Amino acid sequence: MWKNISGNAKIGLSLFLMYRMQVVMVVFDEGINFLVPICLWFGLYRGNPGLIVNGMNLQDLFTYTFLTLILDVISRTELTWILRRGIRSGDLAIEFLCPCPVPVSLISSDVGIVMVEIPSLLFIVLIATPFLRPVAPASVWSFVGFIFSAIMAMILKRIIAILLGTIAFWTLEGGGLIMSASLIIDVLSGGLLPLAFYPHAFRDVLSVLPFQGLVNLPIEIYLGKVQGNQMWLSLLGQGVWTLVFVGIAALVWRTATKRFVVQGG
Amino acid sequence: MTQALKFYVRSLNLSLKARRQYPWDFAVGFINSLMKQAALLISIYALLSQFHQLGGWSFPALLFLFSLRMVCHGLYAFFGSPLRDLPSIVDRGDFDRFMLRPVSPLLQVIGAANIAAAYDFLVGVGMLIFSWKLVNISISVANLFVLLLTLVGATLILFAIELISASMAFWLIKTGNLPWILFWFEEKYIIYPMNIYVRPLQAIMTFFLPFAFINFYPAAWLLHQTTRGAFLPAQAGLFVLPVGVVCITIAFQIWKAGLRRYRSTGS
Repeated sequence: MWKNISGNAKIGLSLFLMYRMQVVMVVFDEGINFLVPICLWFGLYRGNPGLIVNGMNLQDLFTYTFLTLILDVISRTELTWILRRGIRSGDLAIEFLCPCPVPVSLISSDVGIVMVEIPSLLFIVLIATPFLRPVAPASVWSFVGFIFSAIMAMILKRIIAILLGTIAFWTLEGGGLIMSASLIIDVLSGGLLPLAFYPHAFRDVLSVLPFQGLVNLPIEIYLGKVQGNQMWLSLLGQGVWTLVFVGIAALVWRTATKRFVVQGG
Repeated sequence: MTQALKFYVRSLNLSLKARRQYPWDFAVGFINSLMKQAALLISIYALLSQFHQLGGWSFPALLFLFSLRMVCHGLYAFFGSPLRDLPSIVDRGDFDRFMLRPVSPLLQVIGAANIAAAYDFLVGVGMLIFSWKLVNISISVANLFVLLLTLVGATLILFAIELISASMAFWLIKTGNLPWILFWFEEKYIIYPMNIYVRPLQAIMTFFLPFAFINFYPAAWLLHQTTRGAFLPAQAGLFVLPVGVVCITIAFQIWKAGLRRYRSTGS
């Protein structure tokens, strides 16, 4: 099984690196994602850089942006669209012939592409750090908690991506729905705006949903906004949600593949 | 020219006909568009409920800015967004068959209408009317004329940028999602006032990729809103159409150069 996974990862990486322009575009894309929130925070805090809003000052926001980009790079996945294309074209049928469960095969190929994001990650760290001067983690345990949370965020993001991709088993035209769902998850996870800026009642609802584990929770742990027992409880909650989603994805996959019919070749 | 137009209209009708095979799709797509825009607006509203203004623009003014972008984008995307598929068409070697047919390859590529964009357009029109009332712009001939020029000019600008980025496929083959990246760039940046961005970025979005003319300058003119910190005064909003014409002229030259250079990737 491990040979299959590592083999797929290598193939995914090689395919991606074939065209240099593609790699350049990935770096350019990071630049875009980096500049919008920075300019937004500058625009909002202009004339009042010492302002603190719901516990977040300007430096916290810069750090938030920095870490959001890092989380985005390591969690980035094309699984939804790969799955959707494979279902619509019928090419997914070939994946079923592999001696490896299809979702595992897809995820391992995706992991290969994550490796090519490492230059983007380095770009963010090298270029962004002197400008943003992100703060150090609140404590050693905050950093450890952040790492655990980030790993779970990576896994959860991919599970959600596969779930979104399975929409294509039921509808031929789910592209718009997938994009909307992705944007909504972005909002609910704190990817677009830190959850601290939302009204209290909205924040309370979001704190029990799994999506805050994708962005907001890891960063709040890093910044020390969530620490001690609260941190460990939050990590446990994130782990439980991850397992729940793995279960949901397995069930949906089993149901979906029963109705998968490929016509012709 | 008449033949080409007939082909395009027929092609659009066929794609609409194909879409009508999914009767629930319209309702789902419309709700989709509403949810997507609502998610973005909730974020902006949450932000401004804490800070009250962004670059001198209040929430109603930002709503107008947002809506104007949606309407212009929806209109352009309905006709022009199939261009984003060009890089993958060239990569697969499918562009060869477009070259063999007695119809302009460009018309063949954009022949399928993007119905999802129609939803954005409709939602955008609704929001524009609502925000028009909120910001108290008078419904005068001059204002409506400026709005019409903005729609046409902005559509030309967006189409031109999409055409140029798609044409890069003739040289680079794998453009690394360049058309999509520019789409996301436009979607993320121009929902906020241009004057909050750093000068180099403003320069890019005013003189290189003229996204600022799509909604910021026209909105600033219509709302008598400040452009303090931006490169140009609000009166630049009156020049959207000439900017659009210049952009589309350049874009067509690049497209034609790309066609002359095209070498098939095989299939």
